[in-house]
Amino acid sequence: MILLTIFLYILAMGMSIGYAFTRDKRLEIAALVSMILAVILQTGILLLFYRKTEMFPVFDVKYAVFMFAWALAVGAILVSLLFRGTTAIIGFSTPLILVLILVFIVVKGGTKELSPIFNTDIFPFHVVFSITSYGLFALSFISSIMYIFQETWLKHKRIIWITKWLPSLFILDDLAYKTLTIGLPFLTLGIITGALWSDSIYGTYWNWDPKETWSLIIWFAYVFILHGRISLGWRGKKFAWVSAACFLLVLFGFMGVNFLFKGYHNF
Amino acid sequence: MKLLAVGLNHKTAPVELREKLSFTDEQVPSILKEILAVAGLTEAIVLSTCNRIEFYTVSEDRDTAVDGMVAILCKFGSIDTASLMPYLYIHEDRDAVTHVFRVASSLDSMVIGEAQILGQTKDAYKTASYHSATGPILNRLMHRAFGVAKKVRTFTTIGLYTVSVSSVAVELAKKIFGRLNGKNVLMMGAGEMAEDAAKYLKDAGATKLIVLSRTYAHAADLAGRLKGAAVEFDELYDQLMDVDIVICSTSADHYLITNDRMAKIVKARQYKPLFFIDISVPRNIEPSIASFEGVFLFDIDDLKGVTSQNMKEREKAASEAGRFIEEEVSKFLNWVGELSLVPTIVSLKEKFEAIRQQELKEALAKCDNPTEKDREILDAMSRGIINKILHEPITEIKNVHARGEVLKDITLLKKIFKI
Repeated sequence: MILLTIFLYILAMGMSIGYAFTRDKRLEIAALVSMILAVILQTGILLLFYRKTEMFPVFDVKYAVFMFAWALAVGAILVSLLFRGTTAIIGFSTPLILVLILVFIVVKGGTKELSPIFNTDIFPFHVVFSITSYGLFALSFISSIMYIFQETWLKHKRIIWITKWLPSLFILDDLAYKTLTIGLPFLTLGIITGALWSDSIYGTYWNWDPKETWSLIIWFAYVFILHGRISLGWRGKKFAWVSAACFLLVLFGFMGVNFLFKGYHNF
Repeated sequence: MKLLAVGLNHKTAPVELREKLSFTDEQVPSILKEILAVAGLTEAIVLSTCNRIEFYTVSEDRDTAVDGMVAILCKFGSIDTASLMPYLYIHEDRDAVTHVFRVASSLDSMVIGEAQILGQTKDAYKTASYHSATGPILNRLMHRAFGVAKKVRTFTTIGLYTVSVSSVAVELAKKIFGRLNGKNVLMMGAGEMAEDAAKYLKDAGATKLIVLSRTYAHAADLAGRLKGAAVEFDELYDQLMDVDIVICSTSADHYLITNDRMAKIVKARQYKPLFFIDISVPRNIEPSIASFEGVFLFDIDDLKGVTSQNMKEREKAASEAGRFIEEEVSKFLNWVGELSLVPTIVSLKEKFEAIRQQELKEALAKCDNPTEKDREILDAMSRGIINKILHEPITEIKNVHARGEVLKDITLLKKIFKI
């Protein structure tokens, strides 16, 4: 099942890039369809896991990464359906999705006993909010990368297949900004529900565990660039670069922190 | 039965000749009437555009039909046969069908892939059918041609690549701004290309057009024509604060928009995207401004580079479209073949069966008290002979049919057997 999912994502990526070269509408539709099938399959995997454990499949880094990939894929599909001419996002998001799934396969875990501490009412909310915000930040990152590509080509007056394939600068800038603006409240909610959960288990809202600290850093970083956009007029390329850079902080917070520091967050 | 496509186009004939033969809509009905008056000619369509004049016809005999059409062309164009013949092409059957499909799909156009020709072909067909000049074959042919044209447009990239400077400008603007609604265009100077580009941008949704010229009267005049607003030349840098797209086409011999002035404007605009199209020669916009954040600058060579690149893409798509055309041509010819094939086979069989019945009756009459068994033997034998005789010709007809060369052979067959 997981191999089939990977295969479908690779297929979607291939067709999206194929569409870029050939401009054949059928390939564009095929890319979208295989993307949707892949997400359905991945949802199936998550549901199976849920039935087996009756737990949100995010008690360790392994499944968290998997959920992350899922959220990004759902986001990419929504973007290509909601905004005209943005299917190129499939070609750009699938590599990241595939890397995340690869991490999911390589990293050990997922089989150990579930600790009852995760089995509280508030915990699922913490997970859903956090994953949603990560998915949105990832979309913002991808839009920014696409913006940088498109801007560079247009600026150098090289009108090639890639410029025709990519959406307009306006849409990309708008996407990067909007996903980020929606992502930030979700991250805030994720942190708040996390604190509430911590209180219900440990009796304290905040432990300054590395993960918590890092989340706070990310939160400040995003607030800072939103501020830059709104009051300092960071737009276009500048915004794209800072938004892309911020996402690297997210990625580090998501995986790097675990390997470097030990905290009670399993991931 | 013969399908013919006779005519001349921009590739074969000089413009002087095409001018003489470019018929008005009012002339077409009388031309149709004359063509149909040619002996043995049953169906006709006249297609007349500024780049081509063509007759599509169905007739019994090729030579009479061609001679008749040539005479009509000469008569209406007031030219003699000798000055027409070198430029005329005469496509028959498969070639004729291929030609009609290629024309409708815009593969035979001067600007490959231009969209107008399909409409012109449709109009030509409508006129012909309105005057009852078309029949089953041309009706089917034209409907297939429109189908092929649509298929070519949908499944190849032929329509995706814009080939005029103005449409490339619009395409680029869309890549920068997304939709052009709410965007303001500043036009500096005049010129056909600049006006064309401004019109295209407005059609694509641009909201406001501001015209600016050294002499205010010129600007006002132009603004009136393009439904824009004229402003004084001094306002150039003020306008640059608000507009999104600038088309520059003045005859000034120095830079009107300089790097130093732009540096301030870009900052004051908070790096909001600004798209410059400089089609003036010598250039009026300092090229170095392209390095400013949010500024995109294309000069005439850049735009021409894109159009010629796109033209190459279209040509590539056109050769791809050739495959669709070939497929459809075969399908059409099969249909034409079937049209005469089925009745031919049936009447051939009927003719032989009639002979057999006749001979069988006579043979039985000569027998003394033929038993039921004798009858059966004679019947089976005669049937066997006929089936064996007919087997190969019928198989061959079907083979010929599959190769799409049926028209000639069917005629011959009919002649030989008098059916």
